[in-house]
Parts: sequence; structure tokens; C-alpha cells
Amino acid sequence: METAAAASRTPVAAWLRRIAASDLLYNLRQTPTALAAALVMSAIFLGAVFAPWLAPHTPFDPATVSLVNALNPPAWLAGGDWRFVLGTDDQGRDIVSTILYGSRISLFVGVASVALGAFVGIAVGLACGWIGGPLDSAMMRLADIQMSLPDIMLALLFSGIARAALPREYHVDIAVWVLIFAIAASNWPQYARVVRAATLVARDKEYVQAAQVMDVRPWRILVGHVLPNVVSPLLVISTVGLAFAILAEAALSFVGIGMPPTQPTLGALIRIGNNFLFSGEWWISLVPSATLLALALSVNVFGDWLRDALNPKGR
Amino acid sequence: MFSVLTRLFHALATMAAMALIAFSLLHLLGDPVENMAGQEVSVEDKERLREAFGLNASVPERFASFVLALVQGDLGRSLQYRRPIADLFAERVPATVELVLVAAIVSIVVGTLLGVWAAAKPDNFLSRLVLTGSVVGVSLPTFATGTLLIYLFAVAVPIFPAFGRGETVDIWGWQTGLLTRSGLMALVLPGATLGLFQLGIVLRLMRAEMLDVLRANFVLFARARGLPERSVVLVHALRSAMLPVVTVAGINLAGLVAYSLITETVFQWPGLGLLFIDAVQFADVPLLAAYMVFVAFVFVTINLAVDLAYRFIDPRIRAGQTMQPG
Repeated sequence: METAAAASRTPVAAWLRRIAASDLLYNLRQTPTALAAALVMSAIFLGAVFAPWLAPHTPFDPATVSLVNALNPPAWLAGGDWRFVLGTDDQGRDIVSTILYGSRISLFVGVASVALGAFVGIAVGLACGWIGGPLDSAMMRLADIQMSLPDIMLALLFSGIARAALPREYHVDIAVWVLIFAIAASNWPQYARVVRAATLVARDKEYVQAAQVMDVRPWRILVGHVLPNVVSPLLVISTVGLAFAILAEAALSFVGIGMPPTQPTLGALIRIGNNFLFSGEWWISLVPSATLLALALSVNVFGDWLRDALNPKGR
Repeated sequence: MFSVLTRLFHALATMAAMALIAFSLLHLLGDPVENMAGQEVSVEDKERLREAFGLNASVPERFASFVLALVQGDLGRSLQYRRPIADLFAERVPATVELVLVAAIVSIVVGTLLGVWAAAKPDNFLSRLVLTGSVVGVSLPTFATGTLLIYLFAVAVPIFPAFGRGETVDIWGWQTGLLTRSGLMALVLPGATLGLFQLGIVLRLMRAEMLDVLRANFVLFARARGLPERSVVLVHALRSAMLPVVTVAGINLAGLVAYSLITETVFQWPGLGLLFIDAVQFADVPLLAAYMVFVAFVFVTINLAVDLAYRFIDPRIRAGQTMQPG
């Protein structure tokens, strides 16, 4: 009773206390690789979010960039400059700063496309499982068709076709949204399948029937009573999906159908850097490559751990 | 037999859906006659062209003739190259097939062997190292691997060429790079880039499968009979674990085809993937539509082949039982 009273007084503090005491966090502290992955992931996330305050330079403001500083190697090499710790690119932009700003767009596209894909997938899954009938068979056939092609192929096709379909002058402005749409469109079936299966099972359970008898509106039953059953698998799918989305965005930007060079993400930075590989300026492409690897690897390792930790059989 | 027909029907349905998307892409995004004719052609001539191409017919009739043309191998004309798309594809296919083939052999053979070894010797330091390496390999994007390999083996230590296909030889219309020295040298870095990415996936799937099989009763029995560990692993366990390799090979092949597009961009490898990227930059809608149908056809064929192979290998599925993993 006393804890309940405390919880009602300061809900946020109680919530934090519950998280701190949870099995999941204990499990995380016991798994060094997962903990390391979580730390790397958080560091890159925080660096990206606070890029305007953390970055030593503002790389995309022409007023502060000078060609005098172009193609500086990393500071510890001959000709390096400690103002640019990891060197500069051909336009004199500081590599550390471009990476911080670049990760910002990379992560935004990643998180937004996972959110959009999950939202559409969950909505379709709930509707198909609850209503059934022709809607269900049509959407699940569509999901089957999509899943017979690899995700990356779909994202490439969607993005390519959207770019070909839209007038060229809009490309730069809407590039972010095209990317988010393409990646989300390629991953919604995963969410839809999991949610649909859970909805089919829950539909006949007593607690759902009880809610129906009490005249609770269908969408409230679905969101409040059915959806909580699949929070753990959805969390795992989303984590793995985030790693995929980040890599897919980088791949699309790398092949030149993603973000334009004026707003470079990690993939576009690697693409730009590739032009300088042959003249020996390796840092322009290898430093963003390493950042991308660290990000994808830490999200994947964290996702692996999460899958095991949330699996009741593994406990 | 019935389920084979169902699978065939699903494959056809997928192809029909893709053809429909390609058709709407072509006919909703601008007028094909405007695209072809340009500004000098008079209105009457355009109208005659429209009639000649059957563009005044109803939409279902046009879709039917579109599908008929596809079935006959007529994929339309490219705006950018002003040539039949079927000819363009025929020129580009050898490059992509050879790249994917080399990568498939590398990833399936090496991946299977390493996976079996990692499962048989789980406490070995080297096998743990290989396993950790495979996590890095799976997370390392293809283009980053390619960039790194180019820097190491084409710039820092210039052994292999960094781009292109080298010299090719014409064998019955198939331009192969497998028979010349420069062609083989040019294949090393792209093949390794594409293969390494999939190698990690094959290795992990194979290891998981082997670990499951090694826990089975018949393996315990083989050990109890005092058989040498080598024959327990390589004869008894591996034979049973080979079955999922077919599925793995299918997933692997699909992944290789998809990621070949990115590898081709890194190495300027003149295959289908590079053609697609060019078509996007140029907004060559007929080429994009044809590419979509072609890619869907390739994937539907791969999926169907894997499915049928599975039926052929696993008697349980042939007998109509549902498959239980593990």
C-alpha cells in the first residue's frame, strides 16, 4: 500500500525506481558485451542529438569553412592540425563535426523509418487479426510478396522509383522523407505478422470477451488489451530494424539515391571520401566508415542481448 | 503435388503484382509517346504513333498487351540508351552473374566449413575469434568493406585493380571475365567484398544448426559407440545438418543478388546493378519498370527453386507433413 501511495505522489520517480530495480537492467549489468554496446550506442546517439553544441566547427556554414584547411590529415600525422583532430575533407570541413552532424540525419532517418514501419505494421496487424476476411487475405498476400524480396532490394527499388517519379527540383528537399518512406515500406510486414498472430490468439481469450461484454470500443481493446502481449517481440524487431535502417540509409546514400551531398549522412560522407581514396586521403572515408560500423555493431549486439534477455525460455 | 501447385500459383501472383506495378509506373508517369517523340513531331504523327502502339485501347487491354510483350521477352526501350532493354540486360547479366557466383561459392563453402568447425570446437580460442569476427562481418556494410579493401589492396599495396572488369572473352555471346588474367584479378576484390558479408550470415546459421544437431540423441549414440569425433561430426552430424544449408543457400543467393547492386557501385562493375543506379539518376522509367519485373522474376525463381529442392531432399515434406524446425 505504501509503495502505491508513493507512486501516486511522484509517478516519474517511482517509474525510474521500477526501471532501476528491473530484471532487465540487472541482466544488462551482468553482460559486459551488451553493456559496452549500450554505452557505445548511447554515446553516438547523444553525440548526434547534441551535435550543434558538441561539434568543434559548424561544417555546413560556408562562412566558417576555409579552403586553406582543406585535406588536413588527422592531427597526429605530419601536417595535422589539432584544431581538426580527425582531419578535414576537400572543402576544409572538420571530419569530427561532419560525422556528428551526419550521424544526426542518419539516426533521424533510422528512428523515423522504424517508427513509421512499426506504426503501419502494428495498425495493419491489429486490423487484419481483428476483422479478418478479404482485408486480412489481401494485406497478408502483400506482405508475402514483399517478404519474398530482400529488404534492401525493396528499399532500393522504392527509393529509386520515387526519385524517378518526382520532379528533379524537389529531390534535395524531400530526400529525407523519400528515404524514410522507402525503408519503412520495406519493413512493415515484420510487425504486421507478429501483431496479427497475437491478435488472432487474443481474440478468443476471456479477458478480451469480458472487455467486449463491457462495451469497450474495439480500438481500446486492441491497444489496451491485445497489444501489450507483443511488446517484447516488437522491441526486439525494432532494435534489429534500427540497425538495418541505419545501414540501409547509408547504403542508399552511398549509391547516390539517398541524401544529397549538401546534407551528408554517414553513407554520403563515405561516398564523398571514396573519391579521395586513390590520392591517399584515407581518413575522409575511413573515419565515417568506422563510425557507421561502431553504430551498427553496437545496435546489433544490443539487439541480440535484448532478444535473449526478453525470451522467457532463456531465463 | 497440390502444395507444389499452390507454390506455383503464388509465384505467378507475385509476378502479376510486380507487372501491374511496373505497368502503372510506365503509364502513370508520363506519356510514352511524348518520351519517345520529342518536340519536333506533329500532333497528327503523335496520334498515329499512339494508335500504332495501341495506347488508345482500354487500360485492361493495354495491360494484357504489356504482359504479353513481357512474356515474349520484349521489355521495352530505354530512354537513356535508346535501345531495347532486353539487349541492355543481356549485355549486363554476365558481369552480375559472375560476381554473384564467385561470392556465393566463397560464402557458402567457406561459411559452411567455418560454421561446422565453430560448432564442433566451441571452446577453441580461434573458433571464438572467428565467431566474434562474424558479428563484425555481419554489421560491416558492403560498401565499407569494399572501401577498406580498395584502400588496402589497390592503393596502399596495389595488387588488384580497384574498378572495372578487366579483359573479357566472348563465348557464344557471353562476355566472360573468368578466362583472362586481368578479368580474374578484377574479380578478386568485388567478389571478396560481396562474399565476406554473406559469409558471416552463413557461418552463424550453420553453427546454430550444427549445435542443435550435436545435441541430438543419435549423435550421443554415435559417441557412445566409441566412434572417432571426426567421423561423428563430419559423417553423422553434418549429413543431418546439411538440409538447412539449402535454405541458407537460397537466402544467401537472394542477399547476394540484392547487395551486388551496392558492390557494383563501389567497384564500378558494369553489371545490372550499375544499370539500375544510372537509370534512377536519369529517371529512365521504362528501364526501371523492366528492372523491377526482372528482379522480381529472379527472386521468385530463387524462392521456388529452394522450395522445390527442400521437398526433394526432405521426405517428411514430400509426405505432406508440416515441417517442424529442429
